Amino acid sequence: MFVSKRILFFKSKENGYMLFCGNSNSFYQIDDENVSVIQKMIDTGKEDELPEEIRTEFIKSGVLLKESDEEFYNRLKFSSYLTRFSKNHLSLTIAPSMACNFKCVYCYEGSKVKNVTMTQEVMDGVIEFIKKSECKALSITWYGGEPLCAWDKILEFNKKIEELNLKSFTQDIVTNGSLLDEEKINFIYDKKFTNMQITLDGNEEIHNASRPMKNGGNSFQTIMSKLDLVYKLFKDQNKKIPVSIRVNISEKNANCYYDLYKDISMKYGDLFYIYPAFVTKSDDSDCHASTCLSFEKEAEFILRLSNEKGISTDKLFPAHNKLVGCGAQRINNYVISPNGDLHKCWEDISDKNKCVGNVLTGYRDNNNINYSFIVDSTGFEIEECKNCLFVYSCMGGCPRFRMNNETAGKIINPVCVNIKNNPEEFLETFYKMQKNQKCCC
Amino acid sequence: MKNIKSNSIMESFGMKEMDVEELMQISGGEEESCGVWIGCRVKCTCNGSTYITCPSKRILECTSWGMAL
Repeated sequence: MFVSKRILFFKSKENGYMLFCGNSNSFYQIDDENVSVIQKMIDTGKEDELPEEIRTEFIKSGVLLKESDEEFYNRLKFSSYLTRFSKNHLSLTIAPSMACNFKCVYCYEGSKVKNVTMTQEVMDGVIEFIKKSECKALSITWYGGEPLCAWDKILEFNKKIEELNLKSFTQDIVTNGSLLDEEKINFIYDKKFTNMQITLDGNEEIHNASRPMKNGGNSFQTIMSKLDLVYKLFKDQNKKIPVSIRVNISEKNANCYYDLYKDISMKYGDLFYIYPAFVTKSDDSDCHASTCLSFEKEAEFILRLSNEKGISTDKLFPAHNKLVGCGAQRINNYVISPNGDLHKCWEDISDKNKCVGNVLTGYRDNNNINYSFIVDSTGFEIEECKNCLFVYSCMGGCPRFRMNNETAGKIINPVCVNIKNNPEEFLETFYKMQKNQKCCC
Repeated sequence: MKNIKSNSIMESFGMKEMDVEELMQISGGEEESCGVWIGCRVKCTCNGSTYITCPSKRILECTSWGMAL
């Protein structure tokens, strides 16, 4: 057997020795009596003195590998390539309209887009595109603009996709939530949407300042009234609707996350999943760049939230291992704008230079965008990632950030996971939260 | 030793171990020879995925982000 190097064995501040293994994201608290034998295993690369029970567990979790770390890495790299070039599964993010009833101050779609809504010709083109892909499984994320501004298009798409009789069809939606009503909520439940993401930017004052409505309405209270409606419809039915509330975090609102979390949790129980998402920037000239938390401050925020407020986040422990870091790194993954243009990344939806084709006129990847996303910007190709404890969990991070950082010659947005900042403290905090049963991981 | 979080490697990648016969029963699929992996692959008729087996004839089950060929 080979003792993997992708492990972290450390003495925690208050809870004795711990061992984390990145090959499987397994995490152990080590009894004092076994510390020396495990230390010896790491120092010598030999496992023959391990108690049988521990040896068996370590083989299962990849602390002990049947091949060297490099061979294991190459095996996963090979599997990752298979997945990236798989044609079986088609993932589409579709913006049926760029119209939106909000005018968020930071919207990256900004002034570059007009309120274009998908025509019948483009809708038919999308259906043809799905048919021609010969995919067996299809997943769609409804996006915009505000997708609920084009609800009739979503209904029509659903009807046409059902007629395709695909073996698997799943969908989810990213919405500001303000246009929800009983009919839409029930449709989202009945059609088994896997997620409905609604964004808040903090408490009422901060949220309304950064996500105002075009009609001058109170954006925060409007969203809350829709959450009330969802709660009313589902609280007594023992049904769970997959609503996640994304709270964008910057210097401006980091301090009010706890109060917002507490208010929503007290009002709605655990019906909604609430999570913090750190604001990122397009470049240093971005007028919101100065309000973004630094990588170190993000880590402090996560730890303080757990240690001082008892709120866990999914950033405390590495996410599930995966073979592809981002959907944009798969060949059969596209973002479709209302005029039928195909892109790889959501944030490029309004950028003609990042267009890789159109559902009506075909594929034309003039700038080799697919290559950049699929081959050139994944963790497997980068030396720092190759030796990282968390590579199989993050897979090199956001490929768009990575490309932008390389072009700029500096880090505009960090690509690494927050736990990398201070793994021992993150892991011990995770342990303490688990012990107190407050962990969401 | 206390297992705070104990995953097998495959579980951690969202995959589940099962043997070929078990998978074929679930999927209603058929076994095929495979050119890229030692072992075989099984065509699944339930969700359109193809499952590949590892050299020891255990199955790595596909997920949407998994090992679909």
